[in-house]
Amino acid sequence: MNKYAALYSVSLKQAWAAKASLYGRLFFLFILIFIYNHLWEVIGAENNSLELNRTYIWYLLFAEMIILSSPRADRSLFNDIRDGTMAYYVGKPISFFLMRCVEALGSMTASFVLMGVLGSLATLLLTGEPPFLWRHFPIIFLMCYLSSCFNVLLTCAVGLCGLWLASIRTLSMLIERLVFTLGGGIFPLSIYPDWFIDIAKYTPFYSFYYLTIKLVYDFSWENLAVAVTLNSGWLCLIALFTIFAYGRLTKRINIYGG
Amino acid sequence: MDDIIQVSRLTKKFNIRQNSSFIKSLFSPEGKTLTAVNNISFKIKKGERVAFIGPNGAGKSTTIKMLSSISYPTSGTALVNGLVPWENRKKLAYDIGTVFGQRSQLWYNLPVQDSFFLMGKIYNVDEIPFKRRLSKLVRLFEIRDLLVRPVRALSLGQRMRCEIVASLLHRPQVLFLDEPTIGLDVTAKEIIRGLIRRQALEEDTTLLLTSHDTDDMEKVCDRVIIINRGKLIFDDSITALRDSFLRKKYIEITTDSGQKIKMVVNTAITPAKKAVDELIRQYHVTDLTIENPPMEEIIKEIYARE
Amino acid sequence: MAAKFIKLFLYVQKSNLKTAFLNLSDALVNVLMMMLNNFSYIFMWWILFQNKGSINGWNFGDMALLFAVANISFATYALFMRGLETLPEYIDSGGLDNFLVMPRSELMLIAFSESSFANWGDYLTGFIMYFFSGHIGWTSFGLLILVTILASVLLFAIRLLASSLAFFINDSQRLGDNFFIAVITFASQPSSIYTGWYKVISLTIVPAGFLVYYPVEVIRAFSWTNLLCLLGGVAIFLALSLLVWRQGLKHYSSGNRFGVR
Repeated sequence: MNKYAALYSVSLKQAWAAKASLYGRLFFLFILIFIYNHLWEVIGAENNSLELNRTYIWYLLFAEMIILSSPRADRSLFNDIRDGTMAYYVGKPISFFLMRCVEALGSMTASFVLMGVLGSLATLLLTGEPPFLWRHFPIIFLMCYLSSCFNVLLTCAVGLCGLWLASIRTLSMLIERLVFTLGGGIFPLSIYPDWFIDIAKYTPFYSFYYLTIKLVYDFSWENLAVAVTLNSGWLCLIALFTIFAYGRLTKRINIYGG
Repeated sequence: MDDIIQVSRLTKKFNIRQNSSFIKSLFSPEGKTLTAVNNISFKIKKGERVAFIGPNGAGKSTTIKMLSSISYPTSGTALVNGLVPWENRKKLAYDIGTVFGQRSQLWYNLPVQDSFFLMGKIYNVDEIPFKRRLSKLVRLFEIRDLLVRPVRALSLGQRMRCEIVASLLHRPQVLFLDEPTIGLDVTAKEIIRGLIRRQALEEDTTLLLTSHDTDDMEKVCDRVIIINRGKLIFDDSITALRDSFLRKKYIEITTDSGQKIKMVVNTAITPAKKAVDELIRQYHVTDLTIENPPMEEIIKEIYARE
Repeated sequence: MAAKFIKLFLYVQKSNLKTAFLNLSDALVNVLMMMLNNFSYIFMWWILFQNKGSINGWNFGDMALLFAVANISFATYALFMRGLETLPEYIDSGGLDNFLVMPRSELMLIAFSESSFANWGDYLTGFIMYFFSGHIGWTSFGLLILVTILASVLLFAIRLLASSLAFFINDSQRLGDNFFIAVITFASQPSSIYTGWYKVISLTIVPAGFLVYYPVEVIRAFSWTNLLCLLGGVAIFLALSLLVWRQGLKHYSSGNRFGVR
């Protein structure tokens, strides 16, 4: 365990040192906030409710913090599987997949925190006070951080599918889209029709993204409890799947060699 | 004497798939077979420094990968420090160190010492022994000034020194070096070779080094195994190789008029010194290099004698 | 010269298609996934328009037209010019040398050098969205073809600008990519929301206006002024990008970076 903690802190440091990548993601976050702030401003003005704008932009900020802070671990894992880098790690006293996950988590943490600070500042300047109470901020931040961890693990799982798929590009795009729609990654699910929400409820995207991020404008201890329960349930399921998949994977290496 | 590495009848075949389609390959997984390593046997004693030499694609890296537990053989067996590598991966990991010239294990944007610290953690080296170990290796490989520099700011030669240190932190019994001098210039190669040899002598590390550069083995190792197209064709001491196959020297001079002259000297007939003296007497030499015959020449000659 | 280009172009496309046909089932799955991906994004907007009726004068039909223009021109870009995305890598690694020594226009060779079959799905998406736009007709279809060609020329120019940064700035790959993505993101919103300063930005630094706004306007409410604006915008950005590329080549000395992590 100690080695993974060390790995986490080193990869956090590395992410912090790789400024170009950090700024790149931050730039995209600003672009999105900038554009969607304007979109909701226009919509809000037409419907005479500027309150809407403030709520949705803070929602968007946290949604994008979760989505954008995740490094492209799917691509790097896929490449590692394809070019045989993974094979070089079977001889090390560390699990390759866990190692890549922890690295990605470290890298995510760096941008998540930076985005949280600078993104909040930008949103504060653009739209004003957040819709949540400041004393709830640590809880919301932590919940969103955990969702972000889930997002990273999801990306890693997609990369792992490189074992069975010739290309993971479309799959990762598809997952991204599911996050955006079923998870309410851009527009909160509340604007969607009921039948759609009913579908979304049966996917992990609903609780990990929508329910968690919704705490931003609809915080209550009850909502928090629901989100925590659902998220931990899904996490167990997905962890089981990943362990199963990884078991299959190492077997395949054993058969085919490097 | 104990043999720390025993390889017996090791063979590795690859299936080359005819088409890359995933769906097709599910139904017809057969393809051409390529024998990368063909029935190789040898033993290495503790503390021996062995060069594993051959042209590109001879099967050197494939063999090293099997011995360092990265891949499975098709048939045959091997023992490294008493363990079958591919069956005892995690256990063996603590006994061996690996340096693959074309793959970095250092973190690109961070100071070198961060990567060292991480390697220590991964190999469960306790803090105090780690510090002692690191300071010794830092001295041996002369990298004190490099420790705080980010990896991206290192030259290739400096980086390779750090790669080797990273692989030695857990005090491995055996060090596998795959093409450690690849891509380096002549001076950097010289430095690396000297450092590798010094460390191995001082700590009695067993070395297995692959290269396609014959100079690597002469400077670092005592014994040489040559393979070509997967087959072992020579296994003897460096001296034996030198006496029988490294007799020829390739001398190249540049004169002050910019003219380049190349000549091949058979040192069994004419000592190299005599040839050089003769050249210096006849020309105004501004530059001079003496090289061993390239790998291909040696292999040709080995085959010719059989 | 032109004949030679067409030949070369056909050759690259043929070999790309060949690769796709070797794994036809994989390729088709990718095309379908691409369409699914597009439609999930379109769906999001459809929901929003269902909720709000119209946004600053645009209804969903207009937005459908925007999706038609954006998808068709992006498909043209992705199928025939995607090689430009690798340009910064070629510049950094010195790989550009391989292209420079060839006896054809290096820029075209680089642009052609990559093509992703999956983006045929974008063409399909685009034409399907055109049918939902409520602006169907022979004239409007002709205009659609015309404006999408212009828009893809603009995409070429924007990507060339983004990639040419690598001549002047180290490690510019991400910067260039981000600029390109920013343009695409700007272009994926209903253009009607860009008024005032936003409009100025969308016609200058982030020229999404020429990419979708004017093309859509030309079909939606044809006027020669709109068409001229579109033509002018595309011409200016094309000229600018070619100028930067030429300057970059003068600046270029082949790189010698080693591949490390």
